[in-house]
Amino acid sequence: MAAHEVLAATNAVVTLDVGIPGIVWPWLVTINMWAKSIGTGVIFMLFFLLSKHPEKSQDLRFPVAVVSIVFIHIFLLFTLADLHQPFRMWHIFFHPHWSSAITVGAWMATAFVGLLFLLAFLSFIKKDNAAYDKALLWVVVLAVPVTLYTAGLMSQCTARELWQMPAEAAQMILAALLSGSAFMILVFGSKLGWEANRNLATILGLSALMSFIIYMSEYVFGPMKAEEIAATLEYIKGDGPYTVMFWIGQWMTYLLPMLLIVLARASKSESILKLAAILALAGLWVVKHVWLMIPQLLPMS
Amino acid sequence: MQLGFLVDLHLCMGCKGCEIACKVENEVPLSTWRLRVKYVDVGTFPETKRTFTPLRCNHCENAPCERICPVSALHYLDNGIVNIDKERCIGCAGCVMACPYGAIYIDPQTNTADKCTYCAHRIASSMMPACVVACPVQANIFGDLDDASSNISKYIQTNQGNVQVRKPEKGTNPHHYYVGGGNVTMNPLASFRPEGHDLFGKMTSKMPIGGH
Amino acid sequence: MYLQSRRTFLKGAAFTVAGAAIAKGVFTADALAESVKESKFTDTPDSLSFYPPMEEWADFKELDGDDWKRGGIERKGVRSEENPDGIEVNDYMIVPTACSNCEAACGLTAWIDKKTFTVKKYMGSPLHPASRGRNCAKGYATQSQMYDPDRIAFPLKRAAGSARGEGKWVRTTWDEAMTTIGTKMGDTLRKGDDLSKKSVMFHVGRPNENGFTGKVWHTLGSDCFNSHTNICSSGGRTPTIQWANDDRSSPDWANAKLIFLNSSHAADAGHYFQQSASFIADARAKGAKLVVMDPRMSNSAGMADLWIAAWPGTEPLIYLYLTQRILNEGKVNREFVKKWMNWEVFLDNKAYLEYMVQKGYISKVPTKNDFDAFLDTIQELYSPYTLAHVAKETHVPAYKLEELYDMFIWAGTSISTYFWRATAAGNRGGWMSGRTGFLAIGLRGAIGPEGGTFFHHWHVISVGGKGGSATVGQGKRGSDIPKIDTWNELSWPPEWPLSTYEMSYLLPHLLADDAWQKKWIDKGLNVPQKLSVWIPRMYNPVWINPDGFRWIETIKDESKMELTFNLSPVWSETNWYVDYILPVGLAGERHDQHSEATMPARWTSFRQPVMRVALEKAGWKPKNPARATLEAHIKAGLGEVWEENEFWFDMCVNYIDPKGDIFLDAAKTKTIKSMWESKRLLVLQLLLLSGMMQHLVTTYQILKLQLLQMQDIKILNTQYMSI
Repeated sequence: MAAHEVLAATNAVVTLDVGIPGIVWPWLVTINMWAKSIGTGVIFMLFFLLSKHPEKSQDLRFPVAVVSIVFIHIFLLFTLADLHQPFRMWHIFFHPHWSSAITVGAWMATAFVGLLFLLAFLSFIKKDNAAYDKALLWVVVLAVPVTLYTAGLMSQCTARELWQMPAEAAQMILAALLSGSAFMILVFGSKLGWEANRNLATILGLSALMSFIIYMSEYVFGPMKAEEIAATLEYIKGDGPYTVMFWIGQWMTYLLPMLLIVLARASKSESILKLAAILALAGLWVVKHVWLMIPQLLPMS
Repeated sequence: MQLGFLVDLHLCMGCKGCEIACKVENEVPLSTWRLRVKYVDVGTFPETKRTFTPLRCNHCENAPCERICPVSALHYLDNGIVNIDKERCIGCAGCVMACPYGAIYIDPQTNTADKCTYCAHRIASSMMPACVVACPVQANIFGDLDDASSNISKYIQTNQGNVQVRKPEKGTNPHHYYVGGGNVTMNPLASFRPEGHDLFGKMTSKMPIGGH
Repeated sequence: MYLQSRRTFLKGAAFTVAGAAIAKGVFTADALAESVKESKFTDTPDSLSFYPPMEEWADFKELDGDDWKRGGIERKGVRSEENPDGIEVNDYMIVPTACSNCEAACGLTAWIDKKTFTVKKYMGSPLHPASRGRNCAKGYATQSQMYDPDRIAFPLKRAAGSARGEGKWVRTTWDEAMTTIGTKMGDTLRKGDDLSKKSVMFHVGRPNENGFTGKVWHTLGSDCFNSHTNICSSGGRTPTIQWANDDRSSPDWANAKLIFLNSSHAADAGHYFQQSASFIADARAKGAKLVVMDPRMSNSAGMADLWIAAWPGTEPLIYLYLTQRILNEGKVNREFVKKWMNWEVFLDNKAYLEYMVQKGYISKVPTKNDFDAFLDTIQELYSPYTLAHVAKETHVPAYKLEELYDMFIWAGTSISTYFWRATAAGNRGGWMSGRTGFLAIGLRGAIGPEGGTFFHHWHVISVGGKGGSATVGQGKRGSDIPKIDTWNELSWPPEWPLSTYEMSYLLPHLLADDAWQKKWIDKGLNVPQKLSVWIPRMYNPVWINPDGFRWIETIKDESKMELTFNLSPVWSETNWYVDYILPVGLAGERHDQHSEATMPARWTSFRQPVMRVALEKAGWKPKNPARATLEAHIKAGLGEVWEENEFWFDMCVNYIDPKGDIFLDAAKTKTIKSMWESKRLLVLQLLLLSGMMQHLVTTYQILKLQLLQMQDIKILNTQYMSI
C-alpha cells in the first residue's frame, strides 16, 4: 500500500528480495514507555498535590514513592526483557557511549531510582517530611529528562521519520502528566476530595487535549512534509493494519476522557472521573503501541 | 584512509555471486543477509526492464547506528569502516531502529546486532572484500575515497553527474555510491512491494527472547 | 536535525567514567597494540589485492571473518601466544582446482585451514584466463556442498531382499560394489557377441570434463555410450553441425558490438554463465548493445537494450526477417559469403532447384551459375518474410523488429550469439532457430572475425576426449584400441538416422516396447531387449526427462535393467530406484581435464582433489597410489568419496577383466585389462614369472627408474604444482 504515486512508465514492483526485518521493538517496548510515563507522572502529580493541596496529600508521600518505584522497575524489567542479551546490561555502565540517548537515559534512570529509594526511606523510615519535600524537588527535576530521553532516543532513530523532535518530547511530557493524573485519580482519588480531583482532572483533560491536537496535526499535515511520513501513516489510514487500533487509542485516551471530564465537572462525580482515568491509562498503552509499530512496518531498503 | 564502495548498476546482473561470497566469508546465518541484491521490475509489457540493486551497509561517516549504540558495540575504525563487536553488544536493537538503510539485523545465533563490515578482517590482511572478488562483471568497486588516484575515486570522477547515494536527506553521509541508480533503485518507497508473493517475502527464522 | 562530525563522536566515546573500564584499557592496551604491530595485519593497509601472490599460497595467513565479529584487531588484537584472546588468524594452504557446478569449469581455489584440515571457503582462481578470478554464486557455494550433511559419504547398496524403490539401503564398500559390478560387466562383455557390446550402458548426465569416460567405453569394446544431450542441447548442436560440422557456437563476446542472445548468457544460467556474462559486461562497458530474444523476461532480457519476446516457436521468423532485409537492401557481405558458403553446390543441384520451383518457393531455376544468380535466387526465396508477416506471427511489435535490424546492420561483422538453451533446449523444431540464425549472421559475415561468432572446436583443448591415448596400452592417439563394429539401436534407433546425439529420452520406452523390438529383430537387426548394466553418472532422468514415471517403471524392472548404479555425490529421485549409489567427488574432490570454449582462445582447467594435494604437501603418502584420492578423502574426514578416473582405471584392470581374458579383437591380442594396465607391472610380472634371479639387480634398477618415471607421470597428471 504505497502512498507513493506509481506511474505507468515505472510501475515498479519488487520481484525478488529477502525477508527484511519487520518489528524489532515489540509490545515490550510499549510497556516500557507506558510504565515510565506512570512512574514519572505520579511524581509530578505528587509535587503538584503537595503544593496545592497539602492537607489532602500528606499521607501520599510514601505510597506514591512506592508506586513510582514499582512502575520504574516494571519499566526497567521490560527494558531488560527486550534486550537480546539481557545479562549484558551492565555494559551500559562499564562501556558507556555518551552520544547515545539510551546510555544517558539509563544512567539518569538509575540515579532516579536511587532518589526514589531515598524518598521511600525518608518517608517510611526516617519519617522526615521536610527532608522528603526537599529531595522531592530534585526528583521532579530529574524526572523531566528521565521522561524526555525516550523522545531523544526516538529521534536518534534516523530511520523512523515519524518520530520527530520536538513532537515526541511534547508527547512524552504530556503522556507523563496524563498517566500520572489518571493514576492518582484512580488509586488515590477517594482520599483527595473533590477539589484535588477536579484539578487532577483538569491536568488530565488539558494533557489529553494537547496530545490529541499533536497527533491530529501529525496525521493531517505530516504527509505534506516527508514522503516517509506519508507512507508510514498509510498504515493507520483506510484499511491499514493499525487503523482501527489507532482510533480506538485516540478515543480511549483523549476524546472520551475529555468528554467524561466535562461531564464530571457538571455533576461533580468522582466515579465518572475514575472511568475517564481508566480509559486514559489503558488507552495510553494503545496509542503508544500504534506509534511504535507503524514506522517499523516501512521497508527501509 | 576512508574506505568506500561503488556499485555500477549498469553492469550488475543480479547473479547473487556477491551474496553467497559474503555468506561464506563471514559465516552469515541462514535467513539473515549482510548483502543482498534486490530485483525491481519496471514498466509495462512490452516496455519492461529489470533492475538489480546490491544493498549493504553504507558505512556512513555520520552513522546513526554508531551514535545510538549505548555501549559502542558499533564503532569506527581508522579506515572509516563501522565495525561490530558481538561481545559488547547488549542486543537492544537501537541500531536496527536507527539505520535508515535497514542494513543491520540481529544474528539469531549470537543474539547480537550484525552487519556488513566491508570484510574488515580481509582489509586488515590486505585483501579485497569477498563480494568485490566474486563479482563476475566487476560491478563492485572498492577503495580509499581519500585517495584521488584510487580506482573508486577515478570511477566517481569519470561518472560525475550519475553518482548517487541512498537517502542523502538523512544526513548520514554514506560511503557507498551507485552509478546508474535512479528513484526506482535507490528509494524503497518508489516500488510496490507485495507481501507473500515474492520468493523470500517472509522472514522464517525465529527471533530469540526479546519477543520478536 | 543537526550534524555532528565523526571526530566529535570519537572524542565523546573515548572518555569513559567507569573506573573498571579505564583500568582494563590501561593494562591490556599495550599487549593488544603489540600483537597487532608485530603481525602483518593493519586496519590501514597500503594496498588491497584480489588474491594473495602465488608464493604465499602454501602458507597464507588471513584473519577470520567470524571471529572478527568480536570487535576486530583494534579491540582484541591479533591472536598469538601472548594474546590468546586476539582475533583468530587462519593459516591457509590455497590449492587451485576447477568448479563443477556447471560445464564452464571456472577456476576455483580451495582455502584449506591447516589447523583443522578443512576447506574453509572456495574463492576463484586468478590463474584462469577466462574466469579471471571471479565466480558466480554456485562457485562459492561449493564449500557448503562439500560439507553438506546430506551428501552421500560411502557406497550405498540396495538391501538384500528389498525391491527397487523401497528405500532400504545398506552401507557397502567400494571393493564389494566394484566386485559385484565388475563381475556382472565382465560376464556380459566376455560373451563377445554383438549383443553384449550393447548391453552395458554408460549414461552421462553432467560430464564435468572433456569426454574421458566415454573413451573408456571404447576400450570396453562397446557401443553403449548414452548422454542427456537430446533433452538438452541437441537443438543447439544440430544447426551448428548442419552449417559448420561443429556442434557448438563460440562467440567473441568481449569484442562484440551486438550481443544478440537467443538465450540468457548475459545474466542468467547459460552454458558457461559467469565467464560469458563477464565478457558481455566488458563489451557493454565499451558500448556494445545487448538484445535478448526470450519469451519470458529473464534477467538478461530485463537488462537488455532490446527485449524481443517472440511467441514461442516463432523465433526462426525473426532471423528470416533479418535475412529478407539483408538480401533486399544489398547488405550482404559478398566477400565472406562468396568464399565461405557453399552456394555453388546449391546452384549445381538442378533437381532440387526444380523441386523448389514446384513447391512455389522460387519462380524459376536460375539460368546463370554465378554468385549474383545465387543471391537473386535466395532473395526471392526469402521475400515472404516481410515486416508485416513476421510481426503478426511473432507478436513482436514492428518497431522492435526494425530496431533489431538497425542494430544488426550497425554491428557489422561483430555480432556475437550463442545457439543453446532457450529454443534449442528440448523444443520440437527448436533447431530451426539456430539454422535460420546462422544464415542471417553468415550473410553479414559475422562468423569468425573479432567480435563475431565462431565454432567451439577451435577454442577447446580436449585432452580427456582422447581418452587414454596418453597411456601406453592404447597406442599413439589410441591406435591400439580396436574398432568397434556395432550399432546400438537403443541409443540410435533406426527410425531416426539423422538424429543429433543419442535419442536418450526414448531409452525406457524402447526397452519397454516389445513390438518395436520385434519389428527390427524381424528385419535382421540385433536389437537389445534389456540392459545388463545401466550406469548413469550425475544424471537424474526421473526428474529431468519427460515421462519420468516411465523411467521409474523401467529402472525398477530387473528384467529390463539387470544391475544399476549411479555415480553421484548426492541423493536424487533417480538414485532412489537404483541398486548402488557410488559417491564420486565434487569440484575439489576429483581429477578432470576440462576445457571449454568461453572465449576465442584455448585454455584448460585441471580439477584436482584439494584435500589430497594438501595432505601430500603435508607429508602424507597413500598406501595404494591407485586409490590415493579415496584414501585422502577418508583421511580428511569427507568419507569414502572417490572420483571417476581412479575408479575406472581400477575397474578395468582389477574388476571387469581381472584375468585379462576379455578380448577386444578377433586375433585375441588385446584385452580390456591390457588397455589400462601399467607397463611397469607387466615388466615385473614377466620377470618374476621367468624366474630370472640374476636379473634381480637389473630389475631393481629398472623398477627404480620406472618408479621415478611413474612419479613424473603422476606429477604431470595431478598437476598440483603450478598450472
